[in-house]
Amino acid sequence: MQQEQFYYDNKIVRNFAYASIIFGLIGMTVGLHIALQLVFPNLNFGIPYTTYGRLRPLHTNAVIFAFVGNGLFAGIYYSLQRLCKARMYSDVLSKINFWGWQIIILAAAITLPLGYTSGKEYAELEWPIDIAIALIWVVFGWNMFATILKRRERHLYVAIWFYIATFITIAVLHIVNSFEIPVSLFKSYSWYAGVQDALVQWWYGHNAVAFFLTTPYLGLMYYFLPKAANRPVYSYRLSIIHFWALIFLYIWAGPHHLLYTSLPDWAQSLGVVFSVMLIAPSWGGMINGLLTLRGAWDKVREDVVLKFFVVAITAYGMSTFEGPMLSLKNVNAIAHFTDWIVAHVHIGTLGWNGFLTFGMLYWLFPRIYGKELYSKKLANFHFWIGTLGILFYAVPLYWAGITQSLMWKEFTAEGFLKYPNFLETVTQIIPMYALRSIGGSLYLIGVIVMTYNLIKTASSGKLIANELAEAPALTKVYGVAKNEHWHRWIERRPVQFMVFSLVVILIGGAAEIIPTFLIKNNIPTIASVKPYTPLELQGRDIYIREGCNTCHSQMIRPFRSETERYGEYSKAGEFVYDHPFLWGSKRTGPDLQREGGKYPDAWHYNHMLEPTSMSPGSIMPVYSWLLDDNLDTSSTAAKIRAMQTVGVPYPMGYDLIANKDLMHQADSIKNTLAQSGIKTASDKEIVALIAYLQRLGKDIKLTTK
Amino acid sequence: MNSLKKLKIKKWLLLLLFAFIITNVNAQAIAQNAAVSVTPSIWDSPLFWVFAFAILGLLLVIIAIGGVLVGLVNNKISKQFQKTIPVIFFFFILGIGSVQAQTVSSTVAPNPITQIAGALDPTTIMILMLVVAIELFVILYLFAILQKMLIALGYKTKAESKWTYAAIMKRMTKAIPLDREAEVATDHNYDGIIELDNSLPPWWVYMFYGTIIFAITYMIYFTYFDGPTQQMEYDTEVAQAIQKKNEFLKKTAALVDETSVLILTDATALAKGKSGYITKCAACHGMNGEGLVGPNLTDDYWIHGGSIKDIFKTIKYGWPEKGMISWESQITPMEIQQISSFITTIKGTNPANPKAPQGTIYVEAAAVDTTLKALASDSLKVL
Repeated sequence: MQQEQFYYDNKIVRNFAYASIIFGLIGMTVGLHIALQLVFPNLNFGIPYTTYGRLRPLHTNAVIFAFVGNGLFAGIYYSLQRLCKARMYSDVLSKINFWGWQIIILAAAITLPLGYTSGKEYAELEWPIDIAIALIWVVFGWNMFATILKRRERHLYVAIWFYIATFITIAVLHIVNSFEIPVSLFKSYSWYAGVQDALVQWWYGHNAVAFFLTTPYLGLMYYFLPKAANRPVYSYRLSIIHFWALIFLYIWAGPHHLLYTSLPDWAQSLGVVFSVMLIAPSWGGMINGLLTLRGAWDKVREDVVLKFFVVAITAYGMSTFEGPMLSLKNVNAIAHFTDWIVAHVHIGTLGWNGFLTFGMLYWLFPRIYGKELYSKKLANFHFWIGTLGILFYAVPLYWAGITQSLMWKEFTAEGFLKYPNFLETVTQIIPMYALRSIGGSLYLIGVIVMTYNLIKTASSGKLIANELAEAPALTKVYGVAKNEHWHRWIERRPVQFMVFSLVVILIGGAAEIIPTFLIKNNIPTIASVKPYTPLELQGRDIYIREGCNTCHSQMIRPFRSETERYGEYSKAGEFVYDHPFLWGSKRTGPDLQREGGKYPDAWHYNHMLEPTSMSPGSIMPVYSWLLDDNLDTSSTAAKIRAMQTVGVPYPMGYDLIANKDLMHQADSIKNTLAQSGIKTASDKEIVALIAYLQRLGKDIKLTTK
Repeated sequence: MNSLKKLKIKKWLLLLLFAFIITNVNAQAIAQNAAVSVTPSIWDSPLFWVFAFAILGLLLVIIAIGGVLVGLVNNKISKQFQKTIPVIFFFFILGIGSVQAQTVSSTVAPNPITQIAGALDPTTIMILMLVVAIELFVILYLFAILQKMLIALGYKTKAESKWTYAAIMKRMTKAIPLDREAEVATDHNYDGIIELDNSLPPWWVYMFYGTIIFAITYMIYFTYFDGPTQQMEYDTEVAQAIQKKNEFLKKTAALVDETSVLILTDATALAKGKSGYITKCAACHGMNGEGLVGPNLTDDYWIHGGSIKDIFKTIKYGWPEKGMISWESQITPMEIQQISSFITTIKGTNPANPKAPQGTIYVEAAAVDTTLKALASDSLKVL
């Protein structure tokens, strides 16, 4: 058989690897910064761009899409070429993929601190960037698929199955979740409202975890682990079962982020059961990884790459067991909105994604630079300080989460909340926040050491930009072997493979989303719920811009401890004009769903100027710029029109007179503030924010009167 | 031939066991049917359904093991035993049928009760537990017979059927020793990566099945049966809390409301009322009740009535539209009574900087006398 010679493109792998390291450092530093802000609130330096609410999305976007994103591209570009025995289809597409992705990250790094955000978790980027992401993702898929089509290997290895599922599912999730109506270049409203928006968002959010942080990394595990351990993969059968089961079941599990909310009960139940059924498919990946190390455990003692892999896979196993447990409603009742969830996701990201990336980089650099790793000692140091960092990060947060939740729920014998002041439950856990940032620092030190080690390795060698390889071309005719496993059929057919996985992942999403949209009684309407006034709408956009929803939920769950603290629990019909929904996922501060009328306007004014003046000991940052900055009323008309487009029933032509109503309401707030001795102009941003906060949860109170 | 004889004895034993189990279940079903007429809400008890499913599930296991045994016997010994199969099948159908009937009746029954035990009385629970225990015993017994049979018929060696840690591990993982790995190797080779085709670890498969069964049961329970909605759970939680709270208040003699409240006169109660007033009320009504944002509490004018009952009610429920919040969720009825009582004592104290009177004049029937007397004595002094 004729051997063909060709070259693997290592330069693109190197580029993605460096990008992953650089953005990993940046993303983790931002994470450490905001972790410290929870202990020392004035670390926001009193300016908007460095305040928690704006930096938290920057942190999550940077570590997910920049650190892990570039990491998965590096790993896929390296392994795909070798598993297909072919160079990437097009160097131009590779470059567009690389530079396009970096420009998107840069755009995120600029727009998020500026407050341009859609308000939807892990999908904060505004619509022009969303479009760019879709385009670059298609470029990646095109390049990958074209490479697969010109492969010299007849069958697709399990790693490639995971890459295909990743590509197709992320495309679907991103496009569906990003339907939004642009108001201006950097402002849009989600197409969906309230409960529907929440369902779509967490269908997306959960599966971003599944198909951006999990499936591509399982693919990487299936390539780099047997390579590094030089052992055969444990079970082909297990690969098949756990792959299909995983992608089919994962897509249904989104509603477990919305247990005990206004989401219909049936959708919540689906979220519970599909999460529980996910244990085995997830663990299928773990055991196939760990059992691949059978006979190589002596190497694990020696080889730092394998050490990283073992901890990564173990962390994967732990968090994929914890996830289903958190999806049980009785556990979720305790854990949701607390730091428990933060600890849980960091086991996944620091442990699974971080350590797998580090192991992969330590394995890759010597190979693409043709040089031994600069220092095994430093790599070992990185391993230990990283592991310690994860523990110091997670354990205090588990402690904090459970402590705070129990304090929220504790009643005295007389039937009162034991800690009626929310702040008490926050100050209680601040020491845990401090410990957590020590854990984060340890982890970050490890990454800095790795960066040094890898740069040293690279500079002592020379990049093998084009690595020579040879393999015979595929013959046109293929004689199917006797007793062939049935699954081999689809492994030879990448197009069918993609179509079939698309069908598999569409089932769950469709089964949950379509009924919620089409069946009316899923969201019972409430007659007294009215659209926001123009001023409130502007205030809501300020709320979104400042990322208030990163710390404050707007979802009172049907528990006595919550209705006693916050008031009547949230009803689905209350959110029908919320584009986007702002239920939040973490209560660092109290819930705000029924904030309206709880305090006078002056309280809010003083609280934004100096939170500790109203709530001594509060860790909320100051928002003094809201008192100085003028509200941009020129956007009102466009916002009203956009809202009309997505179905909010403002009267025809209201966009033209909206600002008159806005000024009228602003003047009345100015007057009430003046009565309390506060002098402010009615065109300040604070006035709009106060209008919004005072509206929250009030509509339903009107009916009960 | 010796072993054959033994097996013949055992087949009768088996039949007897089956008959015993099935009659037992039937009897139990009848007993429950009888119970229904007395306490119809037995069907609402989740515990009952747990038992019902457990009993049915174990019964299926018994039938399955029995089937294997019968199969073994059939193969090796005689055709006679085939007669038992229709019999087993008949009983199986019977079991299913009775469960079906229970299902139907449970969907019809209205159901407000969500407690675990529901209307199951202890005797029934005992009987149900006994049935489960007997079934478990039978399963173990059948299993032991099966093991012996397998050894007797040469399917298994004695060592293999032992319950040692190593044997269990082997059974649960089906792992093939490293040196025999070539037996499960495939011809797949991707960039030097070779794939083995080891069996799915049975423990993993069982776990997967387990979660699927959990999922189906959960969905059915919450969709077609009495699985409470979150609204129902909330209502129950609040109802239980109110009951618990009232019991506590009754126990501590602190259960006062606006109909039963009386003016307390002992010094400790009034002192408590005063400190409560200072921490909770003074911010709006002044340190001495002279009125700030809120009205003056020392004059004779009241917006919402000045009797002890009215004051209690105002504190408890508030007048939110006027700025007076409800204190019901923050202080106990006893404390409200103490504060209300304290407020009645500051009447007429004429503090400095009084707020102008608001509302209507209120004179308590009994108080009129004393006021008049006081007036009289005052005028006497003047005179």
